[in-house]
Amino acid sequence: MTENSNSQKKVRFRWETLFQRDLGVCIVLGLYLISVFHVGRHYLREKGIGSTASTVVRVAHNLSEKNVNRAFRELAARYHELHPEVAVSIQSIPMRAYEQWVTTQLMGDTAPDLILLLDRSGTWSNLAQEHLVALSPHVLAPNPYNRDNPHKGTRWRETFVDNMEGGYFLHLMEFYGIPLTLDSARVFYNKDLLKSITGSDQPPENFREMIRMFRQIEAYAEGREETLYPIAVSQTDVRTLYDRYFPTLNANMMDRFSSLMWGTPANPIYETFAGKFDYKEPGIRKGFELLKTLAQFFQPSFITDQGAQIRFLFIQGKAVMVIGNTRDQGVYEAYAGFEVGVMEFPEVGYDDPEYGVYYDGPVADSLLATFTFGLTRTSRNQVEALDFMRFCTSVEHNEWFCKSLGWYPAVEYAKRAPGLEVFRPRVEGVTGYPVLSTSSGSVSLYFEQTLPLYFDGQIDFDAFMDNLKSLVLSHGAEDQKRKIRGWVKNQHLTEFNVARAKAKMLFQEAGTLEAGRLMGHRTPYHLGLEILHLLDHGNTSRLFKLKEYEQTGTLTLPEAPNP
Amino acid sequence: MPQALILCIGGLLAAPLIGSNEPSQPSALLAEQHEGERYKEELQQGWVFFKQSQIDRAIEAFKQILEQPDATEKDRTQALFGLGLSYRFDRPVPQKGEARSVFQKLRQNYPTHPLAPWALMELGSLEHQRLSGGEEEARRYFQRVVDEYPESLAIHEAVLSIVNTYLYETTQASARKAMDILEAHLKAYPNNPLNTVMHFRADYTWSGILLDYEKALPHALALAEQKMSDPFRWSRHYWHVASIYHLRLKQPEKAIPWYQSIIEETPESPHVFAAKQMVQQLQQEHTSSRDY
Repeated sequence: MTENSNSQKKVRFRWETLFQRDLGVCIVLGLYLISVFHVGRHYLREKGIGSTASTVVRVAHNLSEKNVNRAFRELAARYHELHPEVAVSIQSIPMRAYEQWVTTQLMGDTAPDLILLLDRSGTWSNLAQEHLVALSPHVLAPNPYNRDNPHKGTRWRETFVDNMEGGYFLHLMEFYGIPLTLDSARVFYNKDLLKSITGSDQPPENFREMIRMFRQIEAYAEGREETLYPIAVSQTDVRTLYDRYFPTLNANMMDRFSSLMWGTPANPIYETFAGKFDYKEPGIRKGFELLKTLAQFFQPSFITDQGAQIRFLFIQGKAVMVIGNTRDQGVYEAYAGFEVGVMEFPEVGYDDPEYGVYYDGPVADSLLATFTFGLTRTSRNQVEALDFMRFCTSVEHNEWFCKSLGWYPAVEYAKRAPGLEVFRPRVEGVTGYPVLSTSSGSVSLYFEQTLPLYFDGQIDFDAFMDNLKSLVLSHGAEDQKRKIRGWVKNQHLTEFNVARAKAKMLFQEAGTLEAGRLMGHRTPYHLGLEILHLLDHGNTSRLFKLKEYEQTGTLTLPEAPNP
Repeated sequence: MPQALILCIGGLLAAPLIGSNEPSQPSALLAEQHEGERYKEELQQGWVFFKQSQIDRAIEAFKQILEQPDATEKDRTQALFGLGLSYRFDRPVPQKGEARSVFQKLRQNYPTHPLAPWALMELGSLEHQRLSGGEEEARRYFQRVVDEYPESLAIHEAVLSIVNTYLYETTQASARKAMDILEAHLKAYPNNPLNTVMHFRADYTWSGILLDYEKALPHALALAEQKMSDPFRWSRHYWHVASIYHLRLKQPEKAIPWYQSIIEETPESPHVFAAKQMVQQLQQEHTSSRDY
């Protein structure tokens, strides 16, 4: 035996002994090496192996679909070609953890340069004021990436189909978000299955026909081994269906009772205090009956199912129809092994034998552009990050990005992918219907929790409405007071913005006060005072009503003419 | 001939100032703008910090200007105002006591300066807590603006603030008092720069709180004519005007043009569909009643 083979034997022996004796150490060491590998790979990916980038712009969002991340990375690569000194790194954070993650990152001053904004009110409004860059000076300048299209020279915000209202925070009087797409809810259906069951792959023309199709599907599925549901609905889709159908049978109701008469959907809390609102009015009863009729065709687990589960059911061919939105189009095109059709929610219509007499018209889609990104104040690459967003929202690149995903573009003149006509937002729709859940508080909690139970047959309409009315009478006043306290607290933000505008009005060194700079044709000082007094009027009119109700046990409202 | 022409032109230019029976109107919105003198750049930096919500740095910047022995009155008054606002909007907690002290100093040291009424406005705003009282104390400051500085632009915001304090007292009597004050001011200054805000407050207080739609109507019409600043609110207000006519004053024929304004001026608003339905319905009712 040679010296080398002896030493090799000794080395082998030491490693084996180490592994056997210190298994824990080996595991920890192994995990450490794996994490070093991942961190290193992420770092290199960020920088780009061999990349010339001296700046890295970080972007975070909450969509996990591979095609979305792929499209983002491609967009980033295109930008990098034009600007080799800038690399863009895209980060996808799980949806459930996203809001908390963003808040923590912003508080810790470690946030990415660009973050997806989930809302324009509440927590997000506070986060915007504290941590995001106000974009108004930038959105009023043209987007230089539109130099070869009809938007050349157009102010950036006016290049969006909604004039960038989706990124405008009313109470802060500022633009904080740059949107990328428009989203509309629709119903997707399996054309192949529909044809084999009903003999045609054409979607139903109205609600009544849809119910007939559902019954056909149920009859088809009976006795078969494989599972098949007429329609797959998620936990949040319950609310989508309610918002799509209930208003169509109850439009223009609130002006009868409202002292303000704005013709908008409204919560009937004060009308309930006044004893004027009937929770079991025929239109309301029929609205809930209609929803119950739909619900009998849902998959049994709808109360707990999330979006991922219902997509899976649909892709697997276990549901003929599924509720979704524009962003699902790309997912189904990529993964469904069958031809997918899309339709608007079939309308009840004036001719419906049961509901037609209550029908007032369809519901409009939201015209606000979405998938909105804000620029963080702690970003050290604000110039580059903002430039990247201009790039993304040029006609050419918004078109490319949205086409590659099957999304609806947010930028005017950006062409849609074929087949997206059905997602074109419906502009006209009913209004003035009662909003039975408030936005927060015990009444809202009860409504949101009980609606799926009603759909599931665990509570009947009369009991649901009796409990709801009871809760409004017992807790509604306190809920309202809590909300008013919250609104008053947030008014400080609007007052600050009025002060900024006032400083410009009074002092040359504070900047220029331009009319028409933000919204409309007046100065931010004027706009700010309008908003402040709008908020103050909202507070005081509610306080008046609450005071009368608490003192007298009732409330004086205008006489309601016969509907 | 040239002299006569000059006299004519001079006469034309002078005419608005002579023999007018209207109360003297305060100057146009931007005519009150003030400038620094020796410390313009430093003042500019202070405002940049303030606008970016870097309040602690704004406080430092304005304080430093005040510490300069050669700062002029123009520099000091602006720095004091900036410092007061910075204390008022300091985070995480506003420094109200400090803010009060700074604005008091501004008003006391420079009582005839054009910024003095604005300092009083800030003092009033610091007093009014909305849900926690302070209405009377706030009103005292706002009323002083109106009484002591009748030529200042600040009087319009002061009147709105006085009205607001009465409305937060949430009694019928205080609401009516608020309306008396507002309508008197609108009568005296119908074209003041904040008249749309005043018409808004008057309309929605008469209609939403006092339920008097006949008194609300002139203000509703004025606001609809002049339009709110935010175009996304126009359709809502037109609907409100139409509903006053249709549902409350029982004059449906006068509602129709306002529903039509929604269709023509705000074609993408959420009210368009319903407005079309209302026009059709009311026109049919009008035709039927005529036939009958």
